Amino acid sequence: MTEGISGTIKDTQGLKNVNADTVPLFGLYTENLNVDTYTTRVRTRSIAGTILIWGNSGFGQWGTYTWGSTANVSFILGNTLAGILGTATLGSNASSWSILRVINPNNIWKESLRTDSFEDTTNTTATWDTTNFRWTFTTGQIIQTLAFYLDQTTITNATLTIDSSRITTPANLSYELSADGGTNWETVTLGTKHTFTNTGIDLRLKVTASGAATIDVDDSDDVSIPIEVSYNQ
Amino acid sequence: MVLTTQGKNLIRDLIDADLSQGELGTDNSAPSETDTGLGTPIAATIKSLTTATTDKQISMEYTLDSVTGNGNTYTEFENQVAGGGINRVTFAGIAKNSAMELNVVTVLFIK
Repeated sequence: MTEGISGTIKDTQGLKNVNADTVPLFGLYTENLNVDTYTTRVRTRSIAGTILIWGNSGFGQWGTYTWGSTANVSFILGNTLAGILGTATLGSNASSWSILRVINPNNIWKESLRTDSFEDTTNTTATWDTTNFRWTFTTGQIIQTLAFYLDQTTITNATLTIDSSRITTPANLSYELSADGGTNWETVTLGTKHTFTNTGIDLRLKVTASGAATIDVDDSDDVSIPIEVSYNQ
Repeated sequence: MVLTTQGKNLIRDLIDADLSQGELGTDNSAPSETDTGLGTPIAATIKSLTTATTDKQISMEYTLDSVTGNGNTYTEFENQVAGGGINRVTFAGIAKNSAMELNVVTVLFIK
């Protein structure tokens, strides 16, 4: 926020006689408002095959395709587990969404913890809290992300930045980045550019706690920053 | 003076209300702030956006079904309002065919 004195009541040219008054000031205030584009993720799912998907023009060929047979998901008439009217659906997509590309403006990934889109739920044991916008750790717990960069340019270096005022007991946390999809993890220091020994095109973050700690990125004030990883800068 | 979280969320809602559609294209020139649209847009890929809002954040989701826009290798994407595109992103080519659906999720954050 910035402010500046623009004039006094005397500038109102006699609308009010203020000669004997305590002269108040009025000011012009400005406030910055930024709209950031965060990450763009491109995903795909396959519907190859001959599954009959109701209402799909490509996979709804009556008399040619057959109803899906995904166990306990598709509606299979007469099946006690997969034939539940109102719950199971007719037909099925053959696969779930998988990530094809992840792109960040200016090669900077920003995580404000409003969603858990990047949480690797298989490997994360700490609490990814999208209500209070924080990661909460107890001893031994980790936060691990999915790919927050996945494209064609090889990642050679990266810098992890987290506002230190947002971390409680920072000595209890250690940080690792992987540029090859989690095959090799390399220890990094906050705010220091890391050059990867094992380069790659799939960038991920792991935070490990040796004791209780939190990272709180609630940016209700204007100066705090989210968790950021800049790469190839 | 501060811009309150409530104020930012009201501004978020104004943006959210204007978001309309997404489109894919096949140009791979680097995105620039001076861009006024996709490099090579494919009109058949224009689809409505689905949006979701959280605190100071908008998530825009675009899905291209299996029977649309096949035979192209897509390298760019744009979210649009009635007046034109609001952002453009490029990526390594994705060859679209009838056995796949594509989905693009973009996040805007009001700070």
